Amino acid sequence: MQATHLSDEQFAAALEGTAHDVAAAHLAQCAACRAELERTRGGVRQLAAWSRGVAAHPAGFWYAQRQSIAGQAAGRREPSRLPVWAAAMAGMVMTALLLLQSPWRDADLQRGVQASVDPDDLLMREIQASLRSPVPRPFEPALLVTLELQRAAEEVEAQP
Amino acid sequence: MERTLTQPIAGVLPSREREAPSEGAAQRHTSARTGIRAEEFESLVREHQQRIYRVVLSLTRDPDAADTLTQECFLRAYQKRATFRGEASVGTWLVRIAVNLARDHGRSRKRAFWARLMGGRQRDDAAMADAATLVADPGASPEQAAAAREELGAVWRAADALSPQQRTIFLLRFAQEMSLAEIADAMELEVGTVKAHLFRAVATVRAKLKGKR
Repeated sequence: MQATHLSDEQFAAALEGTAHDVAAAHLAQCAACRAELERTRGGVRQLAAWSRGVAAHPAGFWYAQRQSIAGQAAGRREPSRLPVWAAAMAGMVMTALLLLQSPWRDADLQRGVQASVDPDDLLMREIQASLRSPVPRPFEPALLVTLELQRAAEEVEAQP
Repeated sequence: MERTLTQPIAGVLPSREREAPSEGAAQRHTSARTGIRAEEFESLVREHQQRIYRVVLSLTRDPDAADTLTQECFLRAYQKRATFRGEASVGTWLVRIAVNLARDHGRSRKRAFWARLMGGRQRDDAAMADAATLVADPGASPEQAAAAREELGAVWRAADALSPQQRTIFLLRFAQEMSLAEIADAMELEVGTVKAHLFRAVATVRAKLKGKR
């Protein structure tokens, strides 16, 4: 029986299969260390065996997995290949275009359009609008006076 | 009709990519060039899906999560294929994505809460019971199968006591039998750092197993 057993370092190296001569010589003589190493080695071997065993699926499993990957890949958006600076530049251009189309810009444009309209054309439009109304524009003041008089008469009649 | 990674995706790929000629099989996936073409992806999935599934399975110990995360791993790889630099092999690159996904999965306390609530312990126990039949030789006696199950359970419990990084390295080394260099590449660490983590992990597992016996 050995007084000192394998150190952790020697044990790890032995488990890795890279034990130095001193450790190998100790293992040859020490049944306790040999048994401990074999137990641990057996345990880690079984880790690998378990992994292989659980992963031993039929071909249909792997086929279905490939199908699923293909289906999901088709549904996922391709990553943008634009560099960041190009994306930023595109954003700035879009912002500028949006500002050009903004309501303030429209109001400015409308004012410009109105300023450029021919005054004769405007007069003709006013005359046409006046002719289309039920009361011609020259008689509008008289109509307003008549309406006021009617309302005053109704108020007088309504009083007790 | 069989769905392939090339055909359904072709509609969303630039024509330049669709029409590009395929390289020889020997150069596929591992050449030191930039990006992976969509045409190569189907064969890439076929070639690596079982290994990625096993890696995620070892790290999560959950077959359902392994399936979901394996799919997510390939979807992320597909989306990032243009950024693949070829500095490591495609297999290592995929393992790196898978390890990160498994780590994020493990970090989700919410998921852990629901897993416990929905019977994660029972599922672990069921997996352990299955393990007895999976691990033991077909001709093993019930006693041998029980011993195998007990040894596996003890190692799992010991691994649970490790830090996330040590646990990942321990499981990649022993459950996936990856070399230290492969682990270092996959985890973006120096080989010496991986070795140090593995040494500490083995020491902890040794102490746990010794304390149990």
